[in-house]
Amino acid sequence: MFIAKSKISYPITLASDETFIKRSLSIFPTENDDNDYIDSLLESATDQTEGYINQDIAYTSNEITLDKFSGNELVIKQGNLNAITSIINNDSSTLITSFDVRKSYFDFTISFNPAINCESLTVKFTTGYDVANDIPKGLRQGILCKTLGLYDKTDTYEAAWKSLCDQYKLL
Amino acid sequence: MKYPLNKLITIEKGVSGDNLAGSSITTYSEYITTYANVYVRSGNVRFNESEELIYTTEFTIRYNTLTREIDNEYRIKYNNKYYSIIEIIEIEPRSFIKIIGQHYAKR
Repeated sequence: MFIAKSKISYPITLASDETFIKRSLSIFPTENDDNDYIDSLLESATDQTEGYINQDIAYTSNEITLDKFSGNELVIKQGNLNAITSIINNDSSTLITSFDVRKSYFDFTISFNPAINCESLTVKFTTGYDVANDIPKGLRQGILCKTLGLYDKTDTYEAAWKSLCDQYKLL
Repeated sequence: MKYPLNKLITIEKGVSGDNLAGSSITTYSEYITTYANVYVRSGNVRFNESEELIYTTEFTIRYNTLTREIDNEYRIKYNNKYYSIIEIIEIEPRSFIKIIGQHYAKR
């Protein structure tokens, strides 16, 4: 099952967590010289954390096309579902609107009513978080710890990052 | 963090010019306020017309596009005392700068 992904935005930015980051790095609030650099480190830390927990954190658009789909239930092993954008029956180019979604932390299930039988089905959906406050607190703190380590080029925060992120990890 | 940057210092930039009487004068203005690791390295006594105590102090600060411009034309204000800059060392390339400053006290 191939999923085409593209990042839309990163929820944790210097603007969302400036006080914590600057205080932790001993950067005076009016020192803005490294702001862009810290923002890029936050994106990098988010990417690394996504790789560690095997789930999207950045707000991401996804597209999946299934050949010869038949049935009334589709399980997609992608955590952190944000929303279903569209489901299209490619045989007739029709938009499917009659479905329910059951969301769990590590995957989600789409139930079709009535059942679908087609040669090709495309599902578009978004994963991750579009605002920082929606991210689980431990995960957010883990990304911030990782960023501090990247900025100071030290492994000091590595254990804290892992222990904070372990509970969200898809094994 | 390798160096605990836990003291607030202000670095002022000096501009040389002449006053109305034609004498050379340096005017300082605030350049950057930042956190530093402060280490008082030594205190010496110098005997001139009066006895002077000379404190040599090391200030370790982060390297960035502002701090890399600092040279001997600048001075440091810490604990309401001014330190002239006598040496600047980039102790870790593009990470930390150590500024060695001196502060005089007459008695």
